Amino acid sequence: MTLDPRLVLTAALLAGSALVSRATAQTLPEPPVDPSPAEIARGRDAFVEGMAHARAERWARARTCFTRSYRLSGSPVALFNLASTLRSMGRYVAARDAFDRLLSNASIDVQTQRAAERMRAEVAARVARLQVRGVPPGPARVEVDGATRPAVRERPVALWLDPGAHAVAIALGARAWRWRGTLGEGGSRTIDAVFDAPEAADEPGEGPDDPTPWIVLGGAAGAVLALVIGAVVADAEAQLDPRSPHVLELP
Amino acid sequence: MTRGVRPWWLAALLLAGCARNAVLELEIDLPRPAGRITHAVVQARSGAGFDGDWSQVPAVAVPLDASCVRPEPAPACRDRELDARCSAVVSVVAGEAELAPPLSVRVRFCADASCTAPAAPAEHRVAIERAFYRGRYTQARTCIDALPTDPAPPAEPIARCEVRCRDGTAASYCRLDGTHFCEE
Repeated sequence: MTLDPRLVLTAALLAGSALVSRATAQTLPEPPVDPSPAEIARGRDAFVEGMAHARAERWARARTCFTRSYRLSGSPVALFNLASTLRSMGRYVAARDAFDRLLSNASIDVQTQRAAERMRAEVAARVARLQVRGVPPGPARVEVDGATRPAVRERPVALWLDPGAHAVAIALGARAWRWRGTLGEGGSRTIDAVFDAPEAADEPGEGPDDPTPWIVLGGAAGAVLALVIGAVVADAEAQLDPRSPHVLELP
Repeated sequence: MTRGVRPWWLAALLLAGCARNAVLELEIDLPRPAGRITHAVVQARSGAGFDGDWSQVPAVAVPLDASCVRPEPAPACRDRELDARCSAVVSVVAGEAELAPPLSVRVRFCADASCTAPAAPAEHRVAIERAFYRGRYTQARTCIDALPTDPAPPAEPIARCEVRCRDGTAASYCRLDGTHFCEE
C-alpha cells in the first residue's frame, strides 16, 4: 500500500499557504494555537522532509516528520499526510482518528475533504473490534500491547484495534484478565473475560511467597504461619465472586 | 518444632485454591417495557423444577429500558451482540450442593421490582441441564424478544453442552468424548 501520489502532490502544493493560513484554525490539542514564524518554518521543513520519505516509502520516518510538522504548525495538510502515512503503515485505528480530526476541521477544502472521507471509510473498514464481556462494573484499567489506555466504564468493554496480534490486559482492583490473540482486518470478536482471583506470586515483594521477612526472622515457625495465613486468604479469594450487579444466591 | 507444625503445612496445602462455589452468568435479552410492565424479575433454583412454591425463592429485578431498540429481524439469540439497554446479566451463585442438578429459571414481568402484583400472569422459563462447575464461571443466554403470554409455558431448554465457560464461540462446549470444557 502506498501513499496516493496525487494527494501528496496536492498537499505539497497547498503546504505553503496552508501552513500559514490554517494553522490558527486548528482546535486540536497537540498543535500550537498560534505558531511562531520560526515554528511554521520548521514545520514546513519537516513537511518537505516527510514528503521525501513518503515518496521513498520510508513510512516510519515519514510519520515522524509529518507528526513534527503538524505539532509545529497545526497544518491540516500535515495532518492529512500523517493520516495517509498511518494508513500506509497499517495503523488503521490511528489513521481513522487522524482523518476524524481532519474532517472535524471545517476549513479544509472540498477536494481534501472528499479524499479524507474516502480514505477514512477505507481504513475504518479495516479496523478490528474486540468486545470483552464479563468485566465487572467500575473503572477498568485497560492495557493494549503494553500501552495503558484511559479507564473504561462502559460495558461491555469495546476496543478498536489494528488487525494483527495483540496482548490485552484489563484490571479492576487486584483482579486482572489477560488475552493474547490475532484479529483479522475488519473483524469483530467477542470474548467472555474470566477474572481469576489474584495470585500471590504476581505481587512481587508481598505475601507469604516473599522469603525476605522470614529470612530476617529466621524461624521455620514463622514461615509456616505465613503459609497458613496465605492459604486461608487464597481460599477466601478463590471463592468466585459475582461479576454482575444482579446476583442470585441459590437457596 | 518441625514435626509439630507439619499438620499446618498439610492444612495450608489442602486449603489453597479450593473454590467450592460456581457462578452462572445468565445473559437475558429482554423486551421493552409495555403498559404497566416495567421490570423483569428473575428467580432461579436448583433441582426442584418449576412446579411448587416459588415464594421463598430469592429474586432479582431488572428494570426494562424503553430505549431498547433491536434490529429487524433480530439475529439468532446466540449470534447477538448484547446491548446493555436491552439485556442484563444475572450472576447465579451456586454452592457445592447445587452444582449438578438442573437449574430452573423463571423470568416474570412485573409493575415493580418487588413484583408483589405481577402485571401480567405470564412468564418465561429456562431449564438448564447443567449450569455449574465447581470453581468456574459459566455463561448461558436466553432471549425474550416479546413479553410472554403464557402463565405456565414450556421451559426453554439449554443443554449441558450449550453452557459456555471459555473465550469465543463454539458449536458445542463439550469435547468429543462428551465431557464438558469446564470439567477438568
